[in-house]
Amino acid sequence: MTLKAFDMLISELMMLPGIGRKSAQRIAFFLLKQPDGVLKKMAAVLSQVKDKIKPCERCFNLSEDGLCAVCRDERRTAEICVVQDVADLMAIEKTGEYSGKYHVLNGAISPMDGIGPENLTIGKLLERLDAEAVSEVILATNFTVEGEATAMYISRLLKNRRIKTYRIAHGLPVGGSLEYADEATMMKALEGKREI
Amino acid sequence: MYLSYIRIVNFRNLNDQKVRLDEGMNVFKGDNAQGKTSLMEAAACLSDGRSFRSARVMEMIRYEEKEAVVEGETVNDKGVFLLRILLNAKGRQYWLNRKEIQDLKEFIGTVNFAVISAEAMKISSGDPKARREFLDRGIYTMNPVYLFTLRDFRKLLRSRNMLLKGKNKDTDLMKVITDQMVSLGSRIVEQRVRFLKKIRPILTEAHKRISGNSEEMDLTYRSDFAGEALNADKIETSFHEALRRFKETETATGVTGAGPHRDDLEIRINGKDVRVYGSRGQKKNSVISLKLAELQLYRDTRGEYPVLVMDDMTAELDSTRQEALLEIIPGSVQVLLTQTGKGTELYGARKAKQFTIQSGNISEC
Repeated sequence: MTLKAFDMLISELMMLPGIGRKSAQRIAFFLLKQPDGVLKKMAAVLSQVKDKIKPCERCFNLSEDGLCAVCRDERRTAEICVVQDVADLMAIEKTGEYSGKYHVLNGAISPMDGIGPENLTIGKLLERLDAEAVSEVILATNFTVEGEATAMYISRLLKNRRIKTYRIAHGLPVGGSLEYADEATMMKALEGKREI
Repeated sequence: MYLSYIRIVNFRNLNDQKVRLDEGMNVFKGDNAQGKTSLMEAAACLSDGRSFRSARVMEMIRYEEKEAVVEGETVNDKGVFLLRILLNAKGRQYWLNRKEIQDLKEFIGTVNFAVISAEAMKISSGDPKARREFLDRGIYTMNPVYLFTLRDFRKLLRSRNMLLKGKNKDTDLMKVITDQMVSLGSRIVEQRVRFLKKIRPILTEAHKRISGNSEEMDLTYRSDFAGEALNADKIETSFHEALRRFKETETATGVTGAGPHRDDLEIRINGKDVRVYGSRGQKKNSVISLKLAELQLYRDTRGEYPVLVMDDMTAELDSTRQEALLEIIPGSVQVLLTQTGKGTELYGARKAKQFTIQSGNISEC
């Protein structure tokens, strides 16, 4: 028995991250059971998503027209928080604790993989620092080799610009107990000790 | 710690085998090319998914099969653990007590092995890579975080070499990558030197027993920039200096000139470098002493012995040496040993559980 359309659906679904053949098959069966309208609507949403959502012209956040919601929000303060990806921006936004703006780099420096500063939006960040009144830059790239390299690189570029530059802190997770912390995290936590 | 059973599916020439192991001595007999080494390789890979033959994942999978599984149950100080590793084209997946493990740190160290094999013999006779691996494995089995330091250092080294070879000379980027590489590289050197400091007295003692008190064995870390200085800051400074010294060659060759990836371990017996001046017997004995010291250091640090794997001992040791070795190994160590042909029937006066391996089939005698 060959079901061409069904197999095609499965192979499309398998493109999605974290979806293997089994999951793809389960989703395909689920979709088949849905009323016609549901699938049509989903297809319509899918087909227009790429056209509607574009990177923000200023900060590279996701946006539906020119500037993203954060950049358009006039209550936002004059800090710029630099992140690797939009997902990181969303994670920070979810806390509701940060009221400044963002800059999405679209990745991190990794010469090994052929990704240099010129492949990221670092140039655009420097332009923004010239054009906007920015009070401080917070480097919130990941604590991986690539994220650290990116943060160190940007901080070097900002050295002679007389702009306050911060790196976000790292250490033990809130609610975490010391005995479960790995050595590297513990070391960093001790390095970042503060007086109370 | 010991392995109570091991199950293997499509691993090299073994199709589907389950073996119940004794807590003490286990002997696997069989002719050449029947699967003895594969079994040892599969067992030892339960520590971190890696092969002691330093093989790629695909080489460990049975011919024309897509994936291999190694499963085992280990009993250690903390309890009973079911380990499972799946090998396929994508790499390795790990399960601990039926739960998939994303962070390898949580898996490593549940069971651990000291392996004496033909490959291990390269430590005293082969190139520096084998000796660096001896150090690095010794460190990360006791401190899994070190594995990440190594991985990150390799990434930075490759990045730095790319920058050295590249046309685009971004000096800021070069500085950032170099600083990061030096910082991690120094931590590696520091850990290795610290490991050596701990293992040296144990090793000297072990080798006295192996050599019947006639030889003094010792180790020295050899590096272009780091002596026995323990302080990480000092190592960093001299690492930077060494890179400055190598600057011209680096620009010419496009390869990072100094670092832990080029360091070596000098093994000496009675003051002489074994690799250069040692007899065949001394080379073999020095590896056995190193492995015994590894076993003992692990016990001193973690409170229990790793499992000892001795692959194809008939080829590596004559029966007198083998018996002497088995006398020295503490009784509470689980041993997995393979042999071709008859060989000795004495295993340090221990009762052994015996198996035969024929064409990939393992059966208890």
